Parts: sequence; structure tokens; C-alpha cells
Amino acid sequence: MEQAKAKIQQARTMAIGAGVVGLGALIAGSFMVSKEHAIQSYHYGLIFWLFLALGGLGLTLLHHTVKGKWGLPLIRMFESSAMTLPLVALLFIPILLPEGMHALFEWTHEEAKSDRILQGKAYWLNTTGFYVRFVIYFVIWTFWAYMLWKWSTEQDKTGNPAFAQKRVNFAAPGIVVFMLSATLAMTDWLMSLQPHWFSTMYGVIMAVSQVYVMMGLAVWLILGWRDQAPYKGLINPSYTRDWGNLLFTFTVFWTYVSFSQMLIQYAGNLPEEISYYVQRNKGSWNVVSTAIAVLGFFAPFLILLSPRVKRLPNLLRSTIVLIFVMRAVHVYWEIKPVFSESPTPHWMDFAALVGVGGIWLAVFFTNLLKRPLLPQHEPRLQEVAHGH
Amino acid sequence: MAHGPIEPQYHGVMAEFETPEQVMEAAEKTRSAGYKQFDCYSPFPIHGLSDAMGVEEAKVPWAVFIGGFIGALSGMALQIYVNSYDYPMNVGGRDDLSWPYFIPVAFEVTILFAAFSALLSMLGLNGLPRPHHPVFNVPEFARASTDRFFLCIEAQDPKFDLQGASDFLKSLNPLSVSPVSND
Repeated sequence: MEQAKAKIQQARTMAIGAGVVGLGALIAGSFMVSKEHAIQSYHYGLIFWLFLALGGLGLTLLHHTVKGKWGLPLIRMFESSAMTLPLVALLFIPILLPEGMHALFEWTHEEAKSDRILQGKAYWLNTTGFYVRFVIYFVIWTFWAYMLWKWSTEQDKTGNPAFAQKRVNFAAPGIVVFMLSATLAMTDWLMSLQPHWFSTMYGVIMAVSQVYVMMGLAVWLILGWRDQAPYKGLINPSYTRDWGNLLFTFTVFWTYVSFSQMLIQYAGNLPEEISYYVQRNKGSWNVVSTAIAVLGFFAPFLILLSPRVKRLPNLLRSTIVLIFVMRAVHVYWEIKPVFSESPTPHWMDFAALVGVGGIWLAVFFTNLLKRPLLPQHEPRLQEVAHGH
Repeated sequence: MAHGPIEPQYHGVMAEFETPEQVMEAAEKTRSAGYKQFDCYSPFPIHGLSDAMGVEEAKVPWAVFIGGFIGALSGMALQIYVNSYDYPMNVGGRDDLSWPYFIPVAFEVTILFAAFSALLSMLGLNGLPRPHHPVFNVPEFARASTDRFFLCIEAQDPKFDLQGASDFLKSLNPLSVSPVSND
């Protein structure tokens, strides 16, 4: 067990360093540049890492429901990621303060009271409701994450296989709860940045983005540690093929729902719907939109189509780097056009991404170090490890 | 099908095995013994068997990819030609070349072409349709679709001679070894 855990400890130290530097820079920026600007950058960084935490929860629910063999080496990472959700809730505090709400959400402004459309939406888009729902989302998510974590840990300790069935019975309805709550949460924290616009596809696009980026991170990490115990000798091509295929599936699914949303709104051509795409194709934003189509879909699609890539861990890792970067660009593309005519990022955007990321990763690694890195008493893993 | 120059009346020699593990092991040994033209027969797909046999990268995926690519291009080209050049129509003030509308159809044509090239290339590369095959001349082979596993070294193999191949297969502890006649 020691080798990989030593690597994780090193990575955690680096993550803490990055977190402190990034957040420090962001705080300095909030005084030097502007508070409003800093909070907008912070929101971007936080949402990106929230995607990883929620993706961890989604994949935890998925794995415990279907119990696929592909998930066994990764499940401790998924669970550890889901258990960062309480931290994410804490990190939300600056956004929930009146200043943060004002800097981000147009519907909290005084002018919204004279906007008939926003008045019509006020039963949902009001600060009291926003806070209440915020608590409900995180209570639900933490509850599901914690129970699955607990039953996994207890099975590790006692070896009692009855916990597996307990997790299935709990995780399966959890998928329904997760999709509903994540859709509403994304409506609150992302879609309401442009409160006149709406799309019923939005929640699905975001949920897929979440599991997509977390799957990428987990596979990237495990392939980096593939020569360290306990992963050594475990990672064979049948795993990397499954993981590559899943990443491929998420690439296609994300494109499918994103394109469907665009086609429907393009066909409808209604002012309040199409404004979203008009805003993202004005000026240089058009370049970003095109880059997301080419590098966010076509490139990973064509690369992951090849069976060779899914056999060669280093090639798969490079592909995941591309996927990861393009996920960050996609979240940027969802958020920033609301605040800025130009797609050029501010240095505080990077500071927020690195700062929140460092803290998030440090907690993620801490969770990972709390337990054995692989499920204990799992016959299907031992079968592989002993060279069948 | 070209027949081997040495034993024209034989398709090859076939060994019968009881378990998938045995036929897998036999395939590995046959490959290490230097035989190239041989095939395995099993009632169900055996994971890892094609690696054990040393089958080179499959060609069907490439045919599917090329077929799908041609499908995407032709689906797109047809719509662009018809809607934007040959008979442009103003629909709600949109561009003549409203490409988002063309994607679903181009996607369907991609699937259609890819599926056709998968089926046709699979049939072509396997030499199908083919109503009869010499392996059916071996009576034991009837169980290949229920519970037995077979490995057949074919006469086309440059290393093949009837006696040598039979002796080699017998050394793998099969249930039986039979020559496969062409008639």
C-alpha cells in the first residue's frame, strides 16, 4: 500500500501550496483589481471544481448501482471526490454573501423588480429560496455520499458482502435524486447567471460534463500511479479499454445533448432563447465556440475511436489532459460571456482555478488516504491481481 | 480458395478440445511452433483467443471508419447542394446554408454507411456467403456449436505437412485429431 500513498501525500503537499498561492493571489486581486471581478473569477474556479465533486458523486452512484468491474480500481477515488462536497459548500460562502450575489446574479439587482420577465420568475429566483435550496442540495448530496462511503468502509473492515446489496439499494434511487437535484442546482448557480434565458437540456449537459471530467481525472491519476503498489500489476488493457470507452461515451453524450440544445434554440429562433448563442458567437467568442467543437468534441472523439490509444496508458493520459483543459474552457464559455465581451481570461480566473483546485485536491487526497486505495474483500479484484 | 501445393486433397488437420482454456493454450503453442494459417472454432466467443492466435489488427474497424466518413461527407454534401445551391429557399429568414439543420441527417447517413460497410466488409473478408466448408467433413465438428473447441491447422500453411501437423497436434493432448478432407 505504501508506494502510491507516498505519491498521494507528495501530491497533497503540492496541492496545498497551489491552493494557498492561488487563493492568496485572488484575495490580493480583490483589493487591487476589484471585488466584483474577483468574485466572478472565484465563481468560475469554484464551479469547475464543483463539477469534479458532483461528478465523483454521480460516478459513485453509478458504480454502486451497476457494480461494473471497470469501476473497482477507481471507486475509492469517486467516493473520496463525492466526500469533498461539504468542503465545496463551505467554499460557496463568499458567493452567498450579499456582495457576491450582487456581483453574479442580475436577478438580485434592484432593476429586476421592474423587469416583467424576471418578476414572473421571482417565485424561483429570489434570495431566500436560493439559500434554502442551497442547503437542501448539499444535505442531500452529502447524505448520499456519506452513506455509500460508510458502507464501503465497513465492508473493507468486516468483509461482510451484505453491504454491497445495501449500497445498490441506496445508490439506485440516488441516481434519480442526483439528476433532479443537480439539474435544479445548475439552474440556480449557472443558468440563472443569464436569467432571461432558459433551457431544459441544461441540467443534463452539466451532469454529463461533471461525470466526464471526474472520470478523466481518476483515470489520469491511476494511470500515473500504475507502477506503484497497490495498483501495480492490476492495471491491464482490459481496464484501460473500458475507461477509454467510457470517456468516449461521455464525449459523445455531452456533444449530443449540447448540440440538441443548440439545434432546438436555433430552430426556434426566439429572442430570449437564442440570445445565449448570439452572445457566445459575437466577436472573438466565436473562436472559443469553434475551439470547443473542434478540440472538445472532434479531437477526443477521433483519438478515442482508436483501440490503440486505449491500450497505451501514456497516450490515454495525454488525451485526458486535452479533455480536462477543454472541460475548463467549456465551463469558462458557459460563465464568462455573461460578464465580458472579450474571451481573454483575466489572471484572476487562473488564480481562482488553481487556488480552489489546490484546496479541493488537498481534501480529495486526504479522503483518499483515509482508507485502503482498493476495495478489500473484492473477489473480482483479487482474481485480476493474481494474474488470471 | 487456393489449395496448398503439398497436400491438395486436404484442407488441414483438426484437433478437438474439451475446454476453452485448452484450445487457448493450444493456439499459443501452435503459433509458437511457427504455424500461421490456422483457425479456432468455439461455440462462444473466447476472450483473449485472438491474441493467443496472434491475429493481426482487425480490418473491419477501418472499413467502418472509412464508410462512416464517406457517409458524413455525402450526407452533408447532398443537403448543401440541394438546399443551398440547386434550390435555395428562404425559411424564416435563415441562411441558405443553415448547417445545424443538416447535422442530424448527415449523422444518420454516417450510421447507415458505417453499418453497410461493417456488414459488407465482414462478409467479404470472411469469404462469405459460403454454403459449405471442409471442416464440416469431420463428424466430431458437429459439436463445435454446443460444447467442444477445435483448432485446425490449414494445408495452405507453408510449414504444413499432414504427418508433421498431426503429430504436433497430438502432442497438445487433444480429445482427437482428424485430417480434414476437401471432398
